[in-house]
Amino acid sequence: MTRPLILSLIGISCLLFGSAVALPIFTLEPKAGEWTPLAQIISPSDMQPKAMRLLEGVAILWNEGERILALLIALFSLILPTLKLTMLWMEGLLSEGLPEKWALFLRAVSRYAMLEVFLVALTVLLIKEMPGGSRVTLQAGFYTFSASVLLSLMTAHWMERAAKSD
Amino acid sequence: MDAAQNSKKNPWLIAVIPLALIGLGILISQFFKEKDAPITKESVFSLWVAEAEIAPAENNQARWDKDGSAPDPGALVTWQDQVVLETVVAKDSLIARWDPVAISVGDVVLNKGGISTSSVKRIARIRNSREGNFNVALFDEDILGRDFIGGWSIPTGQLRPGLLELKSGKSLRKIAIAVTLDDNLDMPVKAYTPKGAVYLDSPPKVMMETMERWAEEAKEGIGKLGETVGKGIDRLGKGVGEGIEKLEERVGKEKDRLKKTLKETGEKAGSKIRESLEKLLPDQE
Repeated sequence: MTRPLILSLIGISCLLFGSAVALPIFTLEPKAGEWTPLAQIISPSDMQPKAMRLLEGVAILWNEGERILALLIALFSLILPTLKLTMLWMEGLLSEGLPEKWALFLRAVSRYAMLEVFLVALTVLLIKEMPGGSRVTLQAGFYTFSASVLLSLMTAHWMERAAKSD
Repeated sequence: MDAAQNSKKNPWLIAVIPLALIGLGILISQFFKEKDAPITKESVFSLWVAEAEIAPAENNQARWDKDGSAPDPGALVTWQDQVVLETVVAKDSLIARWDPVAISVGDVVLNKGGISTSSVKRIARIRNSREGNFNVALFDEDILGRDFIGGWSIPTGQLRPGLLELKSGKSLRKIAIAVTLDDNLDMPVKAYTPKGAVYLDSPPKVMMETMERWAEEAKEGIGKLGETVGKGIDRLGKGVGEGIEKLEERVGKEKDRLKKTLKETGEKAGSKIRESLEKLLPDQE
């Protein structure tokens, strides 16, 4: 693959990742079974559909005192993917490639790239099984995140193959 | 690109590019974000009194309630000379809070057991206009009606979504009014202070009328209470009289029965003594 194409793919992956961070990942529509109309009367604000975003979610967890969970999510969903994309970009741009220790780091980070997608899928599955008819709908953020992760994985694979063939 | 060219490149500068692209992605996503409806002349604000703090004593240093308990505040909102919101009364509170939703037994009874979201919302709806004011005031409920605590006159042009807060050093120390757009009942977080708000030391005319109505209702309530108490006393007196009569009758009956028993016992005892004497002294016959 040519370098401009690889860099374009990484660029698209960065744009998609940026959108995924700010766009809603999923929407939760709370229900209370047969009591839904009553719950809507008593506490209408709690029964409003809620859109979950990565950045907002991390901020909410941090403010609510769930600091470890907030840090974990921030690490796997925001920091590591950003580092991975940056390393890929540098590897694509530098003809001699990344130094060995950075390349090792990139390979280590790549292993966890799909972790957040798996976590979101697990959350969706859990909430789908919740009583009361609460519904979870995946939103644009989930798809852009998945697309970014898949695109960066494929690009890394092509770059590795290209390096081996050279 | 050869190795010589690469060596001239600053790796940190290269690293900034993907970060900038991620930032661009965040910016692009903002275009897809659902924006709040813009505020126009036709915008209708929903508002409810969220919190009020009252001074521990009236302006003349008198206690709010004779028994020393805190006041029982209720709020009233008027707009265009009409009462647009009357909250429920918060019992014994120096800091009172209200929700935008309240279900009363009256709602259920009046609607024959059926209630809907519209019948339980306790919000005022005020249209956005540059001219005119709306008033909000607090009243302390007691047995004879409601006493004015304090209030504010606020320009409607100052309304915007958020928590409208006003403070003073008078009886009504602080009031927080939740303002939202289009019946959104989520409690706003951002607080703001409107310009041009005036503290009310006495209630406006439309509130005076409502106060008169409350006084009338209290008077009727007291009248009904008196009537009920009177009826109760009558019923009690009648019951006591009937009870005494019944008791007298019963005592009389018991007396008669006792007399009869005593008489019978006496006769029986006499005849037994006689029989015994006859057995002991048979020769005397």
